[in-house]
Amino acid sequence: MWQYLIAGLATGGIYAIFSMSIVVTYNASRVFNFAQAGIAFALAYLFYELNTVDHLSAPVSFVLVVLVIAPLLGLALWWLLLGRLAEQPTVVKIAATIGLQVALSGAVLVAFGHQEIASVHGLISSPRELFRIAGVNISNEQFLVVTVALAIGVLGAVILYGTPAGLVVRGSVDSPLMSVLVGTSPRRVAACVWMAGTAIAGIAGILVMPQIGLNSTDFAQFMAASLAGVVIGRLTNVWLAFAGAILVGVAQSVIIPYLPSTGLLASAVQPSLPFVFMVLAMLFHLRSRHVREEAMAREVASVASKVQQRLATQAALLRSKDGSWDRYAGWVVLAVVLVAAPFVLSGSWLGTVVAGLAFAVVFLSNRAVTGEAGIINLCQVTLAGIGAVAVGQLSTVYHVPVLLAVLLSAVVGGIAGIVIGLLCLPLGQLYAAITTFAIALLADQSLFVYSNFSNFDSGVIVSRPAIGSLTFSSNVSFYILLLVILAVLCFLLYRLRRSMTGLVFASLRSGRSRAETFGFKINTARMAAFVLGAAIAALGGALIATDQLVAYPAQFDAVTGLTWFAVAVAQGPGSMGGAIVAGISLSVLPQVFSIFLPARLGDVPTVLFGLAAIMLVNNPRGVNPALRAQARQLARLTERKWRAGKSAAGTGPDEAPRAAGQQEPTATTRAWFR
Amino acid sequence: MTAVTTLTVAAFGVTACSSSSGGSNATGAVAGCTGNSTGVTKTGIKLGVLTVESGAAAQTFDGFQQGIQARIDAQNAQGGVNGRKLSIVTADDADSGSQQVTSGEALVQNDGAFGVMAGTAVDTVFPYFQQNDVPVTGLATFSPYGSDNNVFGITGAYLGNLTPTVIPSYLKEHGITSVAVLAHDDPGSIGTQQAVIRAAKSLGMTVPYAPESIPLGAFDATSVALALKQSGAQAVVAPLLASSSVSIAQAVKAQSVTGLKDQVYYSTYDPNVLHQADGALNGTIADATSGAKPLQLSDPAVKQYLSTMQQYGESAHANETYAAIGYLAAGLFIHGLQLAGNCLTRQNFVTTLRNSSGWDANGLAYYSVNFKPGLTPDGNPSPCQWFLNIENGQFVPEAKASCSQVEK
Repeated sequence: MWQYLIAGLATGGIYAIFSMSIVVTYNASRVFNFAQAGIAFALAYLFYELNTVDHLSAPVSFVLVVLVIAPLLGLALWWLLLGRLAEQPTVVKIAATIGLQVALSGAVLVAFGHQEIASVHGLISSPRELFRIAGVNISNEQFLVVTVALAIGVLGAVILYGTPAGLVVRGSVDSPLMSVLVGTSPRRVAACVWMAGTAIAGIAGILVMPQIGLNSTDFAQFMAASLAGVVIGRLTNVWLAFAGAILVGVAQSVIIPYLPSTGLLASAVQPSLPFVFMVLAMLFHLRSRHVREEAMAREVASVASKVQQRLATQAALLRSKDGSWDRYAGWVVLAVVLVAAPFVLSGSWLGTVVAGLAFAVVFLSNRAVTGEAGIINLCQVTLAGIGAVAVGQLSTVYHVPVLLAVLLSAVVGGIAGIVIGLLCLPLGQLYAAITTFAIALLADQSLFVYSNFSNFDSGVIVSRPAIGSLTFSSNVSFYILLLVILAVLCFLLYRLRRSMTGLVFASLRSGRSRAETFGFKINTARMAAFVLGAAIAALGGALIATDQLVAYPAQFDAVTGLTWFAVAVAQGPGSMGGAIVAGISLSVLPQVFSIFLPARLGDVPTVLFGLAAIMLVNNPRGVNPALRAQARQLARLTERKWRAGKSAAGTGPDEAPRAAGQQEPTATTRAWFR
Repeated sequence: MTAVTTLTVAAFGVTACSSSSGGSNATGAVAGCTGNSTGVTKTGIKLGVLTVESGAAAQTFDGFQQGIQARIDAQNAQGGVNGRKLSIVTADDADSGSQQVTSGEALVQNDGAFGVMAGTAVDTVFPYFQQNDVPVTGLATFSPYGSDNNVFGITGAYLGNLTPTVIPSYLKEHGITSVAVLAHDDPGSIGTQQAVIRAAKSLGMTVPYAPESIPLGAFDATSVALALKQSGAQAVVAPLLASSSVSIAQAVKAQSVTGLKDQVYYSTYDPNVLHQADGALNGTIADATSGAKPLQLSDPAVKQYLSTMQQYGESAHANETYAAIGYLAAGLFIHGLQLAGNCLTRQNFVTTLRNSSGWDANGLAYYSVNFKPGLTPDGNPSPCQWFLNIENGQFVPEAKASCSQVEK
C-alpha cells in the first residue's frame, strides 16, 4: 500500500505540474487555456532539438527555451490571439484556445516531422536513484518534477496574492477600466502574464518529457488527466489543485492491487479515474455560485472593444430587413453546389462529399446546443460515437433494419443527452465545457473500448440502408438520402427558432436574468435543446457508420472532438449553412492535401482547422454570419446609392426618412451571443 | 433519358445493368475474362498503397512505401508480371478511421488501383474492399485478415480468439513457471494478452499479474514495476507500444526488479527505439513482428532483401520494421498476380491465391503461409516467432524461429 502510494506521487507530480501551469495562468488572465498542452509540447520539442540534435548543453537549452523563446512565443500569442480574449464571450475563449491547441499540434508535426521520441533526457542527463522511501527508489528526475510543481504553485500564489505586482495583475483582470483609471496598462500586464504563463508551460513540458516522451497525443492525454486537479481546485485554488492532482496520481497507483484480473473494470477503472474525479468534483462544486454562473470577474463598467463594436454592428445588420435576401442567396449557392456535385464529381470525390454531409449532420447539433441554448458541448463527438455504436449493435447484432436502426440511434443519443444534460446544464459555460470534455475522455477509456463495441479494434460491420427494394448502396443514392435528412433537420431547426421555444432561447441569449423575469422555464428549454442536439449528433454518427460500412468507435475520441469543435464553431455555431460547409471541409480538405500535395504537408489541414477557430477572435459569430453581415452592408450601401440617384433625378418618394422602428445599427447594441 | 433520370436510376439500382459498374469491360484490358480487372492494361498493373503518412502515428509506418517500391522496382527489372509492368499509387489515411474510408475509396475509384497493399493502424475501409472484391495484402493485425476472403496476411491469418503457445513454450524452455502479461486498455492488446494467458495456463504456468490498463505511450511506470516485483513473476510478456515498453523496462531497472529472468517486449525490434532507450532495453527480448527473418542473420534471403533495398535507393529505410512488411506485402501481391496468370481479374486473383499454400517470400519469411481455410476462413495464423536478445545495445537473434501450435 505505502509502496504504491509513494510510487503514485511520481505520476501525481506530472499531473500537478500541468495543473499548476493552468491554474496560475487562469488566475492571472481568466482565460482557461486548452492550448497549454500544445504550448508545452512545442517548447519541449524545441528543448529536445537544441539539446539532443544541436548538442547544446541542457542548462543552456533550458535557459534559451524558458527565458527567451517561451516569453517571445507568449508575447506573439498575446499579440495575435490571447490578448484579445479577455473581453470575448466564453465560447470564443474556449474555441480560440482549442483552435490554438489543434493548430500547434499540427504545426509541430509539419515543422519537425513525425518522429516519435519514446525516451528522451530532460534537464538531468543521467537519471539516478536519489533516495529510497518505503521500498521505492525515487529518482532525481521524479523528485524534481514534484518539487518544481509545488514551487510553481507556491510562487504563483505568493506573487498573485501577496505582492503589489500580483495586485496589479488581479486588478487588470478583474477590472481593466478601473486599472486604467489608476494608471496601469491592462494590455501590458496581460502581455507579461502570457509571457510568464508560456514560460511555465515550457518548464512543465521540459520536466515531464523524460517520463512521457515527446508525442503530442501523450501530452494532450496527460494534460487532460491533469484537468482533474484543476477542477478540484475550482480553476483558481492553487493548493486544492496541487493536492487534487497528487491525489489522482496516487489513487491510480494505490488501486492497482485491488483491480480485478479481467473485464471492463480491469481495463477501464485506472485510466478513467482522473475523469471520474473530475465529474465528482464538479458535482461537489455544484453548490458554488461561481461554478454555476461564472460570476467571477464581472466588470462594474467597461468600454466596448472593437470586437464588441463589430459584433454589435453585425447583430444589428443581421436584424435589419435591408439585404435580408442574403440568407436565401447563401442557401441558393449551397443548393446549386450540392445539386451539381453528383454530376460534376466522379468516383471517390463524391464519396468524400458524402462523408462530409454525414459530418454536417453531426455539426448541425451545434445549432440547437450552442446556437440556441448557448451551451458549449465538447462531447458532441462522443454522442456521435454513441450513435455509431448503436446503429452497429442494432442493425448487425439485433438485426433491426438499418434505416430504423439509424433513427433509433438518434433516440439512444437523446437518452444519453438527458444523462449528460442533467450533470452539465446547471453549470456555467466554461465548467460545462470542461465537464463535457471529461465525459468524452471517460467514454474513450470505458465505453468505446468495450469489446462488443470495438470488435477487437475492427468495429462492427454496418450495411447501407434500404427502403423495400430501394437501396442506398451507391454513393449517389446515399448522397441523396443525406441531402433529404439534412433538409428535414434544417427545416426543423429553422422552425424551432421561430417557435415559442425559440423565443425563450432568444430571450435567454440576451440575458438569463431577463429570461427568468419573464417566467420562462429556462432549465426545461435548455434541456430540450441539449437533448435535441444530442439526438442529432447521434444521428450523424450513425450516418457516418453507415457511410463507412463500419461502426468504429475509436474514431470518435475526445481529441478528434476538439478538431471537430474547432471546425464547426469557426463557421458559426448558430449557422446551419456553416455546419454543412464545416462538414464538407472536414472531409474534403485532408483528401485534397493527401492527393495533390506532398505527404509532409499532410498535417497542414489540421493547422488550418485550428487557425479557423482562432479567427473567431475577429469574428465571434463565425465565418458564415460575418460574410452575411458584409453582404448586407454591401446591399445597404448599394441601395442607398440607388435611392440617392433616384432622389437626384426626382423620380420617387423613397428619400423619406427611415420609418419609425427601423433603426440604424449601432455599436451600443450589446451582443446577444453570450 | 435526362442526366437526372440516368443518375437517379443508376443511383437506386432499379435496373439490371446498374450493378455492373467496375466490371472487366470498364477497362477492356482482359478480353475473354469475366470479373473486375480495374487497373489492368495490356502493359501494366496499377496497385494501391494505403498507409499512414501524416498524424502523430506516422513514424510507425516509416519505410512501408519504400519497401514496396523496392520490391516492385526489382520485379519490373525482371520484366514485371506476365509482361505487365507494375506501378503504385499511394494514399494517406492519416491514422483516421474516416479519412481511411475516403482515401481507400479514392485508390480504387479515382486512381483505378487493382488491389491494395495496406500498412495502417485502423481498418475502416476493409468492408468497402470486401464489397468490391479488392485484393488486399498486409500484416495480419485486424480481424478482416481472418474473415474476409479478399484479404491476405503476410504472416498468415489474424489471431483473434485463437491461442498461440509459442511465447509460453519459449519461456518454459528457459525454466519460467510464472509469467506476468501486460496489456493496454485496447481491445487488440487485451486480445493478445488473453491469448498468451490461456496458452501459459495450458502449459501449467501461473499468471500472477495481468493488468489491462497500461497507458498508451510513455509514462511513469514505477507502480507497474512495483507490482511486477510484488507478484513474484519470473517473466513479463508485454504486447504494448514501443514507448510504453521502454517506460516499463526503465522502471524495472530503476526499482531493481531482479526476480524477472525474461522480459519479452513487442514492438521494440526497431533500431530507433533501441537507440532512444539508451540501454534500458539491454537484457530484454524483442520479437521480429514483420514476419521476415531478422536482418542481423547471415541468410541468403536477408542478403537479397538488403541488396534490393540498396539497389533501388531505399537502403536508409531497410532496418525499419515496416520496410520489411511493405517488401513482403508487395512480394505476396506479386505472387498472387503470378498465380492469377493472364486472366487477371480481382476474382481470379483472390480465388487462386486463396487456394494456394507454401508462400515464404523466397525464404525471407520465416513461416511458410497456407492461405486455404483452416482455423479461420483465411487460413491459420503463424505459430512461429523469431526472438532477439538485446545485448549491449545490439539485437542478437536466436539461431532459429521458435514454433509451437495455435489452438482453438
